[in-house]
Amino acid sequence: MSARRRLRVGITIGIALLLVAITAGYGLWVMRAASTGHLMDPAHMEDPAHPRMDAAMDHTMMGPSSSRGILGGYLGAVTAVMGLAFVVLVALLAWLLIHERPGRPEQALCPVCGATTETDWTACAYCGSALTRVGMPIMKGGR
Amino acid sequence: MIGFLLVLTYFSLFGPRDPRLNLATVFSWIVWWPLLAVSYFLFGRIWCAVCPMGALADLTQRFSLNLKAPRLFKRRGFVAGIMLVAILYQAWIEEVTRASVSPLVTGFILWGFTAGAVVGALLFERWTWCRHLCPLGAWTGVFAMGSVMEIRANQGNCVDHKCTSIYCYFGREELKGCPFHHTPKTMDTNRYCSMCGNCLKACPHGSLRLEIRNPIKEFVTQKKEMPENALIAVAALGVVAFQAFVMTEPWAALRDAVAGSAILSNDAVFYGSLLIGFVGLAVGLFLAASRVFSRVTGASYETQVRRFGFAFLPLTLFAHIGHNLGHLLGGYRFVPAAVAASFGASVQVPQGSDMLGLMVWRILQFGLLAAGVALSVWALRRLCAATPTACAPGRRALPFALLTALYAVVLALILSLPMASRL
Repeated sequence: MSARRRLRVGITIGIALLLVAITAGYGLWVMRAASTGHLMDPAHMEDPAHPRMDAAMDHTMMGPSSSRGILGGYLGAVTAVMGLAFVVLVALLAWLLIHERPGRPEQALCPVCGATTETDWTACAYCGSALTRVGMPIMKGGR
Repeated sequence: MIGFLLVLTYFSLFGPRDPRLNLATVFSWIVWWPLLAVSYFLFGRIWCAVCPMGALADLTQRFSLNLKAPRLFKRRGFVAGIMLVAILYQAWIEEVTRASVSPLVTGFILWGFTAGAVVGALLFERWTWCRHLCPLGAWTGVFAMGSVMEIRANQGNCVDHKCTSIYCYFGREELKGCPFHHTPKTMDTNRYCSMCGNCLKACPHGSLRLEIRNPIKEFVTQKKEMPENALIAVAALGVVAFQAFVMTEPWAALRDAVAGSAILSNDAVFYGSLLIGFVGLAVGLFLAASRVFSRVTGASYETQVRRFGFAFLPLTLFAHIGHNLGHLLGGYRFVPAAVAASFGASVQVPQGSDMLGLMVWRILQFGLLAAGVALSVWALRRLCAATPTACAPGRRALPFALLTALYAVVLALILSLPMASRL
């Protein structure tokens, strides 16, 4: 890999990581706002004319949702699940980038016409013949 | 579109805190979400072609590493799992965070989708995020299978022109190929087609055409990923019922009943349990009906599942449209107020009844539900005709017809209840 390419990869991954970090920070800020009751407009919540504010409905919006029960609070269930989902997603992406080498997938040859096909194709897009993975010649890392 | 996204994001952070006067919440939940539901039926996944988050990702893709999508993303089990989790997560998080009444959360959702799309575009080629990871894309893709429009190739034409270049997939010269990593030449589902028109432009032989179709056509002609798509179609019914139910009074009563519980009084747990309950019930009843019917007809259980799950998609889609159009008709009066408030005008929150009134709302909703039932029954007949060995004599699919009636009654009961405003 050339120095220029390495620089470009570094900058791109840096920008991606920055976006991920901003998203995490933004999410924590919103969750904190939810926990302290600043997520919704108090005047809106107390407006008796609002259809969601009648006696039967008020608890659909009153109070921060994450603060109820033993799983409530700033680090309650909502934050935990959202945070966990976020961490899992980022970790999965990192793992894929490191272990799967997505830029160099295996490719296969169509046994009928010999064209290079993608490994997830179920039919050859060139000749239309059905592709079964058994017995097909594989080109590792080929393009 | 990108400019509009930036405007909405700005108002979500700095606009009025009252959601009925905030452009981000009014536009997102009262205008865009209901119209999006209508677009599923008319144009399938066309939103993905005009999505401002995707457009922003397209702009950044010129700096992309252009990696191929990981092979894991192409494994059927993983794809189905991701799609189901994405759909459930989206439904759950919107309710738990009260996204529709909170400009901050609405803004965070917009940002989250945009960041995901841009990071995906920076790392991978084409629309890897949109196809494999976007929760909204997963939801849209399910309903796109019941659309009245499609882009399909005339494969005879491809053969006649001895096409070996597959321009529709790879692109040609300056023209891009399919952004969804799909091969339009052999495509038999709308799930991954945004109708962006790239393939139409790239194909030099005119093989691809945009056509009006029978909305249930795809249920019969689809050949790949059928069990997953069929089960997700049924699961979507549970999600749609859940989304409507949590805006009704019985939900509030249920909420009261569990208020003393240490665990269930937490909204995250309560909403999550209810959502899984609705989806589990919808899928469980369908699997039970499939088991009964496979015994009656002697056809394999797997055949029943992968064929007949699609039949419930029109009912689900029309219930979803009916529910959301109700919110559009009930909340459109907030639009001028939110626009005026965005320009700094001092405005009052619009009060009073809807212009069209409750009766029109009800007629519209039940009309749509009836249309959904009719299409689902028609789909059952077509599916029976396509696989006569899987049906009882006379092409009858009684257990599924009864299940359609049961689902329709439940949805009608939920939609007939007084519905809270979304804002």
